[in-house]
Amino acid sequence: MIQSQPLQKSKDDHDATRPFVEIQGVNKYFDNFCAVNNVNLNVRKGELFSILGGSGSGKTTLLRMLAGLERPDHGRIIIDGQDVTDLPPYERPVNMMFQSYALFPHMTVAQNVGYGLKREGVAKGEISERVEAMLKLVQLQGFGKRKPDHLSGGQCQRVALARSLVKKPKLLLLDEPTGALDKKLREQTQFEIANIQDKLGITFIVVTHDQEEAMNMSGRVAVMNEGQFVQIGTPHEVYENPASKFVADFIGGINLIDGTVAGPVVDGFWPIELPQLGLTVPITHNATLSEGQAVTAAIRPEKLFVATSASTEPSFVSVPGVLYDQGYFGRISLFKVRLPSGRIITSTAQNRVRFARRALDWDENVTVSFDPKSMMVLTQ
Amino acid sequence: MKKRSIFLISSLAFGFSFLYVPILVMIAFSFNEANLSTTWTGLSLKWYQKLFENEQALKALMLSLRIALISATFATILGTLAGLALARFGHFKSRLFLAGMVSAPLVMPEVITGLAMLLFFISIGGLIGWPSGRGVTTITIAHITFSMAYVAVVVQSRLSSLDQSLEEAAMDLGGRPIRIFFDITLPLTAPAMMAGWLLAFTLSLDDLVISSFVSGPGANTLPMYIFSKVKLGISPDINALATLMIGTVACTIGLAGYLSMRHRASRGSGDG
Repeated sequence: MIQSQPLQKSKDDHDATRPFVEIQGVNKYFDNFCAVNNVNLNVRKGELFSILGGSGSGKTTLLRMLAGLERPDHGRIIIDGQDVTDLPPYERPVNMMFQSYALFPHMTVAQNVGYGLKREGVAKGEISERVEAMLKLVQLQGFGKRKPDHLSGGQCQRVALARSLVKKPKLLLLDEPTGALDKKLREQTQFEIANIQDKLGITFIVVTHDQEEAMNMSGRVAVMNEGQFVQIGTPHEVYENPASKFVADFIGGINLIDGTVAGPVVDGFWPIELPQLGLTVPITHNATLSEGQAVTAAIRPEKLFVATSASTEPSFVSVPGVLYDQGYFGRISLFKVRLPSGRIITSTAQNRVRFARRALDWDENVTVSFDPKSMMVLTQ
Repeated sequence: MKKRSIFLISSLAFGFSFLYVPILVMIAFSFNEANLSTTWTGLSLKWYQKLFENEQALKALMLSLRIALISATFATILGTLAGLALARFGHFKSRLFLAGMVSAPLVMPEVITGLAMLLFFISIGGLIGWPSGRGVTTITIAHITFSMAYVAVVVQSRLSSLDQSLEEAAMDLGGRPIRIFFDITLPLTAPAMMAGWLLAFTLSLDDLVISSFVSGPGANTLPMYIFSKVKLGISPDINALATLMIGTVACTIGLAGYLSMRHRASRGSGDG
């Protein structure tokens, strides 16, 4: 790349600086309901980007605006430098994989996959070649003559993926791509979609309500709530450094504990008084806090350890409590511990050993231990 | 399997005999040898033979078939367009009102429809000189009017059960709206349109009241011919004619039912 010609290099520079997909101040109202509220987003070329949100968060509306199936009330949508805001779906360099797959029931698999090419006016011979190649990519060779009725859910999903990729769109939109599959197939399919994306280098934008799907597949995740992005970052950032209580709670479970700033910062650690735990814990925080400020301390359940005795790790702090409830999920166990303050906190533990030590009993006296470094401060 | 009570079985038997015994009696008498419809003397096809020698009856039959074919075809086109508009126009303000308006002719007393049609034809004939008189044309138009409501209802229900993302997917893949209509919407609605056509065809073939209102000299449909003959006394060849008509109607209704059932079955397995 470094050896390439100057002209080529400058073009690459341009591509690197200019985002591939730009959403600029996009608004969408349905009657008086604001589905998408002043959203700005830049997606890089070749990125697998996820938009994660609950139902009614506006994520699907945003996706439909990218596809051209809805028109934004305000704002622009630019794809690869071309303003597509006013273009109808059939003139956009974008394809979409629908949540329901939307396979044409009266056409065979090959006709479904080839439909986009046929409408583009591609020659018949080339269509069958490209359809064959696409079916091979999604591992459905030999299924071309079947009707969608005679396919399993997983196969339908692959046909839908092949159909949306066959035109080599600049941007592929996926609406809940693995939502209709069972858990085992879902995980496998997530890896396959990510591999195909890697192979083709097409920019993918995935919309999902499934946090595991978003985290597993994507390079970056945007968390959406009430028509707005509340945080954009890598899955790791969003999980370990949530910007707000909403994000922290939405992505995985979390214990949110009320606290107050008890004193000035010492070596980057703020002493946070947590009455519910009966402790004052030093926690790192990037922004400046003021003494006496009400904050929320947050810690993930898997970072809390429940045992009959306190942890011997020197950096850990512990709180006594009573085991209030527990659940066994096979891979993990979940414990709910009631602290002396009455507060119930949740902890999960991996069941790493097949024949575990004596299990904990309901109403047993236990100790909850954690590393203060695992705790974070949320101010909003 | 649950054992059914005698009460339920006898209710069913009574209901069905109430509906079908008169028709079965008529069919039986069409094969009767006697000149009177009231006594049974023996099995014979002579009334069928007589019927096929009856030019008036055959002429009426041909006219009825012609009107039924034309009116069913136009009713299907118009009804499909109406169904399409109702199912795809989104939620405009007067949607419910319009939907009600389309299905109102289904329950409108035929006498009123017939009278309204007659008055309309007379006044519009006086205004623009067309239709100049009443006859085949006016009957056909009247039949289109009332049977198109049935088609609209059938097509609309099919369209609203159709996943709209199919059309969106086609558009996303580069299909322009007109193209999509022929590639996706029409093939998937065709069974409903066919069922609607068959329904309109039977309705037109059967209609007596509305036809009588808007008919003119010389334009006698089969039901009108039968009704006029019955007024002069029942001749057994009418039984034969009626039997043939029942056969035709039963076949078309059966075909329409089969089409919509096969469609439901394929849709059901598609969900799985």
